Amino acid sequence: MSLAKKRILIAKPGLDGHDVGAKVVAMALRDAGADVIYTGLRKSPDYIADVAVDEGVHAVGLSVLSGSHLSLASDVIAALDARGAGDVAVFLGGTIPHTEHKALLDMGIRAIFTADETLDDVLTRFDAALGET
Amino acid sequence: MTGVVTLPSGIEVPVVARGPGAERLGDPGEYPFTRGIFPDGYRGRLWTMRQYSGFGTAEETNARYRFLLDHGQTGLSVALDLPTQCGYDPDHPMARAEIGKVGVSLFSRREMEILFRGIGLDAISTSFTINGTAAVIFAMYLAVADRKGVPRSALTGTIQNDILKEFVARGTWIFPVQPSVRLVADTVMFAGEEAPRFNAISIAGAHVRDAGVTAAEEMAFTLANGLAYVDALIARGGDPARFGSRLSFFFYVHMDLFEEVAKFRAARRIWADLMRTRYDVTDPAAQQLRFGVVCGGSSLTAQQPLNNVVRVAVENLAAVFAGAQSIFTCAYDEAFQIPSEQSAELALRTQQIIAHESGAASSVDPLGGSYLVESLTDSMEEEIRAVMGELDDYGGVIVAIEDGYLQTRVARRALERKGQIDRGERVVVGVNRYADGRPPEIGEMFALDDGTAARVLEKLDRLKAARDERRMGETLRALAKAAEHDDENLMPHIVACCHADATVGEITDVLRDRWGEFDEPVRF
Amino acid sequence: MGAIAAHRLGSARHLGVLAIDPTSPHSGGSILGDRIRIDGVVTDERLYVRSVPSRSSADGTTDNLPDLLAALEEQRFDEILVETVGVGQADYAVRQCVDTVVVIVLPGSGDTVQAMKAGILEVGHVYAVHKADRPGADLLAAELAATLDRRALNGWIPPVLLTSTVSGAGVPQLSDAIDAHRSHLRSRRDAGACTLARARYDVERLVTRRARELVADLPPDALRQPLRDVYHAVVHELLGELAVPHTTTNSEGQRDGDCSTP
Repeated sequence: MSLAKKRILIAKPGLDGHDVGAKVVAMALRDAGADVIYTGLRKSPDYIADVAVDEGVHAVGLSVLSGSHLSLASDVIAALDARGAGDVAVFLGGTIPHTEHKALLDMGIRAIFTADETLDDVLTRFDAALGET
Repeated sequence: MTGVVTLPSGIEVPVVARGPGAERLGDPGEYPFTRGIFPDGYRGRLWTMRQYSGFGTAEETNARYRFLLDHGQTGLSVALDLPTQCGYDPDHPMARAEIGKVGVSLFSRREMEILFRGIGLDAISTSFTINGTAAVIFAMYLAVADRKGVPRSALTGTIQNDILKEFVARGTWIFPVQPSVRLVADTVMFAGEEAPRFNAISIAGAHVRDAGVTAAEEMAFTLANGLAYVDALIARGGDPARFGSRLSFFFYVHMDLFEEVAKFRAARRIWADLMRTRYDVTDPAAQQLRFGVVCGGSSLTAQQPLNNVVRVAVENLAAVFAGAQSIFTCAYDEAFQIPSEQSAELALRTQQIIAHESGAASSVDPLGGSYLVESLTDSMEEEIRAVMGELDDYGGVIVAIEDGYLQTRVARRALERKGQIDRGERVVVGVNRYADGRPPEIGEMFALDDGTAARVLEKLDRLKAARDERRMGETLRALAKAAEHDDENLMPHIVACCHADATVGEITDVLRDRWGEFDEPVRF
Repeated sequence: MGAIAAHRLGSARHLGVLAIDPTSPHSGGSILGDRIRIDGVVTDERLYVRSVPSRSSADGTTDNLPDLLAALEEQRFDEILVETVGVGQADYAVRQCVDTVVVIVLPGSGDTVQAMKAGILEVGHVYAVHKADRPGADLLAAELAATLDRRALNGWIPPVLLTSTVSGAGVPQLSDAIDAHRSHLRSRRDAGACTLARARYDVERLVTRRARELVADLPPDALRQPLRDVYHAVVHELLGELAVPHTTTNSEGQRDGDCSTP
């Protein structure tokens, strides 16, 4: 798996405090050999983009369970673009309705993960999507 | 209790069945309450059936509440939006994306007034799922009662107000751990004096359990948090014999029927013992572990969602066997979309069928004396006490939370649980066994019209334009001054701020300035 | 860390922080969570935080610490704070790379000076007993001070301070102690010793790491030879690489990996 030594930022944008999903994915990525930077709770899109640039990450994984994913994801993508880091892959996980997947992918989200897939599937899709540049 | 129950076949059974070993257990309603806190179980009164709702603006939620009350509901359970829960006004940059989602926006006392327009505060019991800003929301509720001329002593209901578990699982903390606990103690002390029928805390294991820990850890963490609050209340001059009877607890019920029943029986026994031996409390009411439960949560699946109806029913049955005081049943589609009217009704009907048709509520502690359940209760007690011992050895829950030890333990358990499900070691029908390959149906979580945020922001502007700024400023300064003294109860000051139209964000900021914010430890 | 970074920003024009977290020996991956403790306290354009995994390093630092420090120094950072993996492991290595070592110890869990690893008492230039609000902090500080008093080195007696992020107490004093140690270094004639020590450490680390890799790659048959022969084979291999100094060995690959944006 080519996730080894990839630098990945796992972030919790907005006010949602449910962080177990984000932590589980962070641990799974670590166990796949990645270097994972974890932001903790309640981060603004600008902060997330700043950290992504400072830390030189390959990917940003956002976790949102509060239903605010559309605006938060688009704000993070815009903030990365504004810093010239539009090439950083952005992933999204949480409670994401299927009806909104297309809009999110069109907006530039590289892949969307939900709690019902196995961690192996998550890692495989993460890895594959990170490979597409 | 000596009555009998006549079964459909005509056979009579005692309300409280006894057999060998019954003396050791004690009767229902007797110390150590293994068999329940009431001598007659549910025969005197059924458990409270309470469903959770709230969204958008106070006006929208008020209309929903009046509809529910018109249809026979006697209690309300208020869901609040995240800005209100985290102490931000709607115009804060972090708040805008979240206004009115996951619950109703209640940024000031006037919004609370709108929420209860046309509803008699003394005629209903209201439960608020609020923690970080529980003191403010409680103060707002009191201020609204004051203005309506309802005596505070007539108010019934609950604020969750369990900040310790927010640091571990749910994440709506604001201040560092110690001042947060002080604020909890202030509300409980104040409620004891001013609104003695109102439960000012509901110590919750539910969220930690749902995040991933085992049943024994759920009980151990929660009882340990309970002890931390009792210690804090005693340190602020409280008498456990008095406030002990106002403490309540809140848990999840997951799928293993017997383990779930045993965990509650064991926890009741441990709590009664701790209250008696640690604090010399002799009043039975102050020794009893009273608890509400949620059936559903993370045991529900988005795949084959109708399976969740059966899961909720089994969990509901476990809660009744265990003698829960209040039960909330999730709608089968609730974990991944807004419940339909039909699914919400079915959730309530599940409780009613178990209450009135199954016979589960006719006898008290119907599983008492079962070889399996009694030995499991003993093992569970041992396990819970062992985990509590580990926390003690660590230096207590407050240190364990400040250091991130508990948070790490929960996250590791979550990873373990996920692995067990992924590998099929823990069977989840429709997910890793008998799956049909169809993608899960995840629908809209929070259907709000686009105007909600704008309407809330406009109301905030109007409030700021209309209020008496000078008077409001005085109340905020008085609060700031009081917060400098550790021995002063802040609640009277927060109530005064609410009367003067200060917002949730403004009141919280006064305390943020004084105490700072929680420094979230990140450990894996 | 956040509090001291905020305080140091008062006098530094540009402050760099390298926050090192452990690499999992099983997967080679890591979770880097230190920076949020800093960001939670201070956000400033003049502050640059970089999270770094420890990689194969087992001494509390990271494989390419000297390179990272050099890269940041080139970018004109006035001061660089290095947060090592943890007190238990940080001993000799970090002392070779930096001017001032601050050792942070926590009260509680039965820690006494007697129980501390000997290395900890030798590595620090400044000691801070953190979470000073917890029971036992005063006692620990007093014991530490009494022990360290007897261990003055080159005329420097490591001061022992009490700090707390809850109250913010002790942070200015800690900052002053760092400055005092810096002045002490300047006053000594061998002020350039640190640069030399770092260079020596850099070479030593590279050589040992490469040697370790070569030993790890040895086939089982080779290990059945007499020790003397195996040793010669490894040294021979190592010397052989001199002819082609910048091959894409593992070490070289890792040296470049951490400081570049993909």
